[in-house]
Amino acid sequence: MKVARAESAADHGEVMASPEVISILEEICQLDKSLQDIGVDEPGLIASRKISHFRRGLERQASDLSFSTVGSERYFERIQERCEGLPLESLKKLRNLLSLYVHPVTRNDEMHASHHPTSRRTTEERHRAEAELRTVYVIFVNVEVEVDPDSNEKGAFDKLNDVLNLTTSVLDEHKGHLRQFIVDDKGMYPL
Amino acid sequence: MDRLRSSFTSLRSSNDGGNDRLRDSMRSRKSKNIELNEKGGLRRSSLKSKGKESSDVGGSTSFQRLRRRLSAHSQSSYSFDGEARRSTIRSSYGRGDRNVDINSFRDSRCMPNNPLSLSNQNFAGRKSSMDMRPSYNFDTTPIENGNYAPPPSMNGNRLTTHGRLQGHDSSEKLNNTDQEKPFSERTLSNGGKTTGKLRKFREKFNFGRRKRNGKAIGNTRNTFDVMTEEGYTEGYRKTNKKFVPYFGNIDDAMQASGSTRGGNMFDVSRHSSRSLKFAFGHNSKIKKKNVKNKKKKKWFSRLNYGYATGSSAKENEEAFLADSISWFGRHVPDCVLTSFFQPLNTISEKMRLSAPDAEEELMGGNGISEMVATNLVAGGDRESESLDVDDEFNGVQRVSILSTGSDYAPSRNSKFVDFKALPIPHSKKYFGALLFVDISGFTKLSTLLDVETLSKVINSYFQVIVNTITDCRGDILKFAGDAVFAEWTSSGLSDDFEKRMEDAVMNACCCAATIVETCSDYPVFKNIGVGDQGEQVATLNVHCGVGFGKLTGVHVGDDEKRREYLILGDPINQVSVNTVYFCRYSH
Repeated sequence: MKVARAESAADHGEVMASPEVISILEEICQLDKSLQDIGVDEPGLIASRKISHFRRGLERQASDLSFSTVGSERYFERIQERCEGLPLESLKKLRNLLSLYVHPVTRNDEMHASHHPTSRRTTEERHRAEAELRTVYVIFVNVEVEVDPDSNEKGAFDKLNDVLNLTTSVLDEHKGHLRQFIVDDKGMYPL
Repeated sequence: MDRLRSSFTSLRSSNDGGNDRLRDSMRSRKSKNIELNEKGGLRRSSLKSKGKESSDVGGSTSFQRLRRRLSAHSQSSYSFDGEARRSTIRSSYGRGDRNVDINSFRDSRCMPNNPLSLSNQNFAGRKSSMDMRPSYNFDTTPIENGNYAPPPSMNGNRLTTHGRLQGHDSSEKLNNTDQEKPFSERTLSNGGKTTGKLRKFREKFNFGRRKRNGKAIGNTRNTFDVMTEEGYTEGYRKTNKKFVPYFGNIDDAMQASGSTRGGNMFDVSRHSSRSLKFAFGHNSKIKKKNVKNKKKKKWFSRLNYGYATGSSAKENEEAFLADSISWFGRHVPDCVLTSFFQPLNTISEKMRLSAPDAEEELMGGNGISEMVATNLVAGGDRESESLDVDDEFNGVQRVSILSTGSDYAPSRNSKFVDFKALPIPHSKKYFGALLFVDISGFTKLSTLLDVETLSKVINSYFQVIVNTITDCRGDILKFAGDAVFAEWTSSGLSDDFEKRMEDAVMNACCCAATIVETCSDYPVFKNIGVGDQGEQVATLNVHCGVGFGKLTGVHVGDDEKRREYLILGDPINQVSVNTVYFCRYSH
């Protein structure tokens, strides 16, 4: 529904900020008059295509320049660097744990891959293997569970956990797998 | 295996003796007007002058067959394109000597009839299965005065005296210490793809290639069949494992020899082995330097598979696992990765603060790398961080990282013990800015473009968004259809919480402004990636919502099947409200 609503909108290319964000922006940078005039509880338009309604100070701009030097490839190189020196058993368990967060198809491909030097796949080959065209049947489930994220109770998130485990086990019975588990303002959606 | 090693050793030691026997045999043949020519082939000097005796000699049985084989070999031998095969193969039959019963091997079909074996790959062009048997360039002995010492014929294989590797002196190879080892103890540590040197080497010497009309065809690898510890593999797999190459069907070979490793085994030649060493020597040097030089290690990683390859099986596996972790790291948010790596950093920091000398000891030895926190806590939730340390003498100690800390003096003998999973469900609360990017136009686009073009468009469009987010130090939490969730947490190096909070908001806002600036009204052409892009078929657009507040990251799932990292909190509602408000506002 969200996508459909967005598509039906006349104009795009705008950034809306929540009142909390605008209140912080007011303190750290100069805002356009249009933003200053909006109500306290209303979201505001802070950027529209090539127009920005907030201006960063010189200090901020200088610090922001350094962000562009952090490339994505460098980021993934750092992951490997963090693995350097870890013992083999730790690496195995770390990989197993991380694989639980990944799409099952990707996980199976990688976990069953040989570590033989001649059998290893490059990143490109991995991407290519994932980019397959497949016919699937999709079930979109709306789970009505009330979870208070601010709750400090010990079992506050047990419901979420139970929903995921139940969904996974049922899908396993029917040879399916969980694509995504989305929680947003509209609810919880195992996909 | 020991049997094979002994056979190989005895073969080498008996090499000269075997030659002597054959020389004696040849001398005795002279009584039948047979002598060796200069090239080691056999000719009957008397036949040319005394043709009338040909029937007598031609009627001789075994010797005539031997002559035919040798003469036939002189024509075909190992040539792929008329030249001699450049690799010399020492033969070891697993029998301890060279007096092998040919018929037993023939009957047991130990010949390389396997379609994957050397004969069928390297010796294409031969007609019959018998002719497809490989003929092995034996470790040649220079021929002096026609006293050629032909190696024994086995399986009808012809052993040639030529095929010496150009530019390589066999005497040098004999001095190579590694060559003196039994072959099963040798290792090849290239651990990677064909390097440029090997490729050039092959191209220069036509090594391991078949050619047709001057063009290389088929498999360009070395085409030895190799039996590793893992079993039968095709081709000369450059592995660091100890291996025994063999030709032919492994089952037949095992039956014939009674060996558990197959009976028809051959040592790879000095030349080929040398050539590999030659080719990989460059990388080997780099590997040694890798330990000291990180830059070169990175270069080496990129050179090969994008990750480092070790020289041992363990190092290879570690490199593979690190690469897998990196690959999975591309699929999970950075906060999840941090939740696993954080304990290690915490341990390191704690050790540094509590015992600087101990940290040095740990980092320099097997310390910090071998210790992993048992209780992995997301985002440095330090309340329950703990560490299991195995002391070789004192057993397992459970050390609380954030307790007093100073009482812990890590031992050099401390080892990795356990790596318990993150307790599930696990939650972590923190402040952060949330960016919601909603892309519009894909639904319409999917009806207009074919799959391949559509995937290119989606990839290129998402690539811009993802790069912008990562450049602004954002963490992509989830792709939900054609929407993206990214967060900027207030965690950072600065002690000033307010400043970190402001940075998070500013970065999120700047990122959103950049995205709408670059990705709005994104034209999609019919022929993407082609010179003439054709007509514009659709326009992609984007709008963003930015929220800030208290977020709760929850790890749910189990330790076997599946886990998910969910984000809950007020900012989720904020960004959604923003987009909804935007839609209403736009109308």
